[in-house]
Parts: sequence; C-alpha cells; structure tokens
Amino acid sequence: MLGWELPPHNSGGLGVACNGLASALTLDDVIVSFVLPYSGIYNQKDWQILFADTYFQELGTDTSFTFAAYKQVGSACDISDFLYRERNGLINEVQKYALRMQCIAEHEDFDIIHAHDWLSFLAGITAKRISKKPLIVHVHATEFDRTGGQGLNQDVFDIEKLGMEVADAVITVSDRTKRTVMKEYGIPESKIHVVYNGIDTSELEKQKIDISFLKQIKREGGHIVLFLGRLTIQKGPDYFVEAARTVLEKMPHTYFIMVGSGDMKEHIMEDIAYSGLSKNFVFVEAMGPLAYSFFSHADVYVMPSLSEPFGLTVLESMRNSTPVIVSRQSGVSEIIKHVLLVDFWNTDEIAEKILAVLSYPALQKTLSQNGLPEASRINWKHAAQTCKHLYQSFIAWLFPKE
Amino acid sequence: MPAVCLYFQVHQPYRIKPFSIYAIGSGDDYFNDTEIRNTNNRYILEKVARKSYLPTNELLLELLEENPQFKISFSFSGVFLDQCIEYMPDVLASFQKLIRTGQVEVLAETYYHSLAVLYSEKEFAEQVRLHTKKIEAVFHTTPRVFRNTELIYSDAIGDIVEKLGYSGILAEGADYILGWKSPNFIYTHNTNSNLRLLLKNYRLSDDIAFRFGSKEWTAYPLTADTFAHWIHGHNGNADSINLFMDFETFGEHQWEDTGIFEFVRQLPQAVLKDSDSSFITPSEAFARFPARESVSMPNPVSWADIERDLSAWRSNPLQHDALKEIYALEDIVCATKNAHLIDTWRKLQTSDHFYYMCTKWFADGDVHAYFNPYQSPYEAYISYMNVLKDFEIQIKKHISSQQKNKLPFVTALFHSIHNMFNKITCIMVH
Repeated sequence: MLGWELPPHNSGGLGVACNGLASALTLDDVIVSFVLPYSGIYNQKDWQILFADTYFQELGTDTSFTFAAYKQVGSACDISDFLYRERNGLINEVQKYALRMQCIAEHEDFDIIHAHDWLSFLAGITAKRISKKPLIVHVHATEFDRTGGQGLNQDVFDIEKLGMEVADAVITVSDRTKRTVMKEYGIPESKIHVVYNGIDTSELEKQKIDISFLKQIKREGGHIVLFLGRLTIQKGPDYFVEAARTVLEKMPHTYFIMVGSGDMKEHIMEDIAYSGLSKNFVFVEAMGPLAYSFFSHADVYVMPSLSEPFGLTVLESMRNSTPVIVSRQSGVSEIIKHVLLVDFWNTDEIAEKILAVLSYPALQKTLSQNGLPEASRINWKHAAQTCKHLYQSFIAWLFPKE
Repeated sequence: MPAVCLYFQVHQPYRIKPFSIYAIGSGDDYFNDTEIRNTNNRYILEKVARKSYLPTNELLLELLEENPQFKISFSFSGVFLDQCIEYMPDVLASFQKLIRTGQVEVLAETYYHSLAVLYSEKEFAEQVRLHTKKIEAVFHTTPRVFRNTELIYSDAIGDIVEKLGYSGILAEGADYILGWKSPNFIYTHNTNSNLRLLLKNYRLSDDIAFRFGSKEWTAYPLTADTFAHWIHGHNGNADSINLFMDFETFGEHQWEDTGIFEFVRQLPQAVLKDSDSSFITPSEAFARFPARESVSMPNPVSWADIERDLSAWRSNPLQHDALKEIYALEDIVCATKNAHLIDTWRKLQTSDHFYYMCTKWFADGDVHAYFNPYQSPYEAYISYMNVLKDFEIQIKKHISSQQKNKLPFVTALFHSIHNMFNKITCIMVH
C-alpha cells in the first residue's frame, strides 16, 4: 500500500483514511506493507511501514542513486516523461518517491499494489512496471475537487489521469467522485469501484480535551458555530463567512470558530476585520485530537465545501452528537441522512439552517439523537471487506486454481 | 357467507410551503405555494385527481349502477372537500354522484384530519361538529358512524366518541392488538357496550393497498376471482370482512399499469358470484351483526406503518415539540374569535404536518420519504416552526389592533361617566 502521509504527520483526511483502511485490512487478515516517501516516528502499528527515503541504507546498497542511474535501468515507458522532466516543489517530491519505489518493488514481496491519491500514483506505476503486479489506485480527491474546477494544475491532472489509466482498477470514495473520474478523466465505469470511507474515532476520543473559552461562551448563553477544514477554495470558508454575517443580524450572540489553515486565511481575516465582526470570530490552527475536541463544544458544524469527495469530518461531528449542515456537493451525503443539506453557494440557506438549529432545540436534539447511531454504523470494516474482495478477484485471476 | 365492507379514506392536507426564517413576521399565506412542486396543493390535487379520483369515481359509478347490491363507504376530510371546492369542483361533483346512488355511506371524522382527540376534547368535538355540518351541506347526508384520523383509536378515545353520540367506530385490527380474536366480527368497547367497533382486516386490505402491484409477491398478479375466493374461504368464521384503505390506492399508490382498475371493475361480480355473499356499509354491518365480545385497546392504535401506533406522528422531539406548540395556542387563538386565525390554526393541526417530520426509517427511504413533499423531516419541521412563529406574530398583531379599536369606546364610556358625574354634582349643588 502506497501513501503519502499518516497520522500524526498528516495534513488532512488522506492520512486518516489510509490509516483506518490499513488497520481494518490487517484485522481482516490482509498483510499490509505501507510505503511512505519520508521516514518519521509513528506509533507502533499492526502493520509494517516502509520509508522510501531510507530504504536503500537499510538494505546496505549503494545510495548514490540518481535520476540518470534510474534512466538506465528503467525501460522506456509513458511515465518517463513525468519522471525526468525537471520539476520543482511537490511534483519533484512525487518524482523522487516514484524513483525510490523501484528498489522497494524489487526487494519486497507483495501481490497487490494499492496507491492512495496522485501523490503516490507515479510510485504505484513504477511498482507495477517492475513487479508486474496489479495496481489499484484509490482516489480520495481529484484536482477538480481541490481547485473547485478553476486553475487546474496540469501536471497533477496528468498524473492523476495516467495513474487511473495504467491502473487495473480505480477506487473512488463516493459515487460523486466516480462520476468525476468518468467525466473528467475518461475512465470507463467498469473499472471503477466505490468504497465509502469508514471512521474510527477511538484514539481521538481518548485524547479529547476541554476547551475552556468555548465553555465560557456557552455558559454566557452564546452559540457556537464551527468550521473545520483547510481554509482553501475547496472547503468554502468564504461562504461560511457570508452565512455568518446573516446569522449575526438575527442572533448577535453567536460565535464562529474556524479551525484550520490555508491560503485563504489572511484574506478572510481581513474581510472580517473590515466588517467589524472580529469579536464574533475565532481562528484556530489545530490538527488531530485538538481539532477533534472542537466538535463536542459546538452547537452546529458547517461544511460548505464546493466539492467534497467524501467528508470524514461530518461523521466525526455526528459521533460527537453535534448537528451538521453539509453541502449537497459532498460524497458523505450519499450515505447519511440525519444532517441538514445545503447548496454551498446559497449562503442564505446556510444561514437559515444555522438559525434554525440555534433557535429550535428540538431540531438540535433530533439531529444529534439520530445522527450518533447513524454515524456509528459507519466503520472501516466494511470498506476493508470491499477492498479485500477486489484484491481476491485479482489474485484469483492471476493465479487460477488448478 | 361473509359480507364485504369497503371503506375508503379520502384526504388531502393543506401542505405548508417551504417557509423561510426570513419570512417570519411577513404574514405571508402558508398554504398557497404556486411553484410546481409537492408543496403546491392545487398541483397535487390536480395530479391525484387525474390519476386516481376521476377515473376511479367514473368506474365506481358504473359499478354501483350495474350492481344494486354493491356498496361502499367513504370518509372525506373537510380540508379535502375545501380544496375540491376551491380547485376542482368537478372532482367534488363526481363524489356527489356516487353518494346520490344511495349505495354509499359517508362517515364522520374531524374536519381537519387532526390529532385533536389526543390534546383537547373540546377542540376535537368542535372539529367533528364542523365536519358533520360540511358533509350535510355537500352531500345532504348525516354521518352516523365515526372514523378517527388514520384510524387512531383507544379505549379513552372510544369514550370520547361515544359521548358525542356515536354508537359505531372503525379501528385497526392488527394481530398484535387482537391476539387470537378475528377482525371479521363486531366487538364492543372494553367497558362501554354502547359503542361498537368495526375492525380492519389488515391482511386482505394490505393485499390491495400495498402488495397489489408488487412483482415479488407470490400472489402477483392478483385477480378479482382469486381475491373473491379468499373472501369466500372465510365462510362460517366471519361476519364482515372489512377492507379499509386510502382511496388514493386506486391509480396513485397502485398505478394504472398494475391492473388495479381492472381488478376493481371485476371485484363486485366476483364477490357476488356466490349468491350468499354481499357488500355492506358500516351502518349496515352494525345493524346486521351482533357484537361478539369486547375488545380493549389501552394504548392508541392506528393503521400507520408496521408499528400501528402513534409513532408516525409523534415519536421524535421534532414532532413532540411541534404538537406541543400548536395546541398551546388553543386558548389564545379561540379567544380572538377571528374566523381566519382559527381556521389557520386548525389547518396547522392536520396530522400530515407531523407525519412529514417522522425520522423513523427515514434512512431506509421508506413510505414516509415517498409521501413527504419536503426534502427531509428536518426541512418539514423548520418550515412548520417558522410558520408557527409567524402565526404567533399575526395573533399578537390581531390582538393589539383589537385593543386599539376598543380604545375609542373606553374613552367614550369614560366621558359619559364623567358627564353623568357632573350632572349629579349639578343636581346636588342645586
């Protein structure tokens, strides 16, 4: 299994999802070797983690590995274009990861390659070329989701498309993402399998803390509305702020907590300051258990994403009995019902539903009473079973019983 | 040979339109959605009339005229009749024609198809009175048998209904309520022998109402002959087989392509093929058959869902809250003596509003979702509560305008007393 990040060193939902799936597969008797591009310190797990950057040294082989050296051993293939074109930043890291994957693919024993998101797609392709083993690419998000369809990064798009084309199967986290993969990447439906994410909050629950200033707000009769996610175009933080303005006209004693960071943060803070609403907004940068702790303090969690392939935080909020307002443009809304749905662009509708939850205690109560059991039924076990079936179908096909 | 008692419920609520929190205080009409969607009452009535009411009534009229022994019974909610008068008089006329054959009985219920009996006996009695008045005006007949909203019945409800002067009532006859008793006989109230019960044979009723068009059903496709055969099979162990269902079963719940109309067309003849068989109305059933024994229903029973209790309308906090709020307005609304406000308050009592808020099985996308004009129970509740907040403002506005109108009168009174006092003083001085 090839990934990019795992908790606690993760930037968002990708690492959480990879961790949940790998653990559940292990419980289901699948032996998982999880490859990460960089070494780090992780909690002891039931499955092995391999670090691409230090793998050579551990083998005791020549570390004077260069792009040029790889060029000689690698055969001419359609990924060479991606591997050797000079790139900076993230694309360069992705290239390095793919090159280093060669050695791992040669030395490790495995039956299936399962690569998560475009960051590990090139590494996945490398592994497939060398091992001739089936490649499954797992699409947690596409470039279309991340950019809201504007200012697409062509390199990222090309890598995603190539990965999906070369792969023997594509997994998407929702029906919504499946449609994107078909429409924007031209992948045939027969190759795509929808595997909804699960959720495991047991570790987070243990580390949950009390946030005293939120408790103070509640004690004084104030309301707390939560935004939690990267402050980037995909997550719709600007729509959240628009809706907040309307809410404040009717219920001035409401506080909007925005947990996360991102390239829109500065702009949003300035905007709020100009409007004189700073006293009703709190900005927090938090990850992992600290971020998770915010859910149980909020009256309502709002996720106004422009395009959300899944939306794990919705389930996290429901697990905390906190009502959720989520955009219809999300994958998670395909499998849960006890939430309030909105169109992200309709800030009046978002505001109206925030006001309704804050005004009508019975609404808050019913959403949380019904939401908790609904979200609790969703776990990684089912996702792992679906993946395992897919693995088995490939293995049966590769090694037919005599 | 058992007699067959056919009873159909005909009802359409005044659905409230999606009512924004921003509209609170506007005094905008709640029931007049004009957009083409499922909260537009005229649109729904026209749709159901086209698919169900008009073709079914045409067929029933034919059957009643052909077979003088064929009998049916209806209950119409007052809000259904009002909508017919307002939007589709020809639908009303088609029902009037059926009643005029003399082979059709019309039952009593609450005008607003409400749950009033659970909250206010006074309000319940008033709605029953209004309903009877309406039926007399529209159909020139006085209902003699009672049928409560969605067949909701309990021993306590039975007592209330008996006090209103009814000696017969319809109720659900599901297994878990009756135990070993059969719904095919007449029973009395558990303590009050003046009130007799006609119970729904839920199996045979649901064969038509729910299973008829289901291709997975072993009896599919059901013919009138087979169904009549099942009825005739009760020979000797049934007085009256009571088939109670929504009238929209014909053409709306069971679409025309299921063959439902053909089934109805052949049913009278198929049943009457056995010369001992007959059709009866509820009044005739009570007159013809003796009550076998008493039956007790301590908790309210209805014909809704598999639970057959009140949970379709009253099981989650949304429903409890909305019901509590609407009935809390009784005294203040009635005190206004304003016909429009009182009518609006009653329209907001219609049970369907609370049915739409039901979250039971919501996640499974069942019948509640199918019959819900709102996107979710939560949306239904939000619109309802926003309307209620607006309605409260309208009541307050009305009361304060009344008080203003009273002021000149009070001033005048004060002046006249003052004058009188002056006069008395004058007299005394002189």
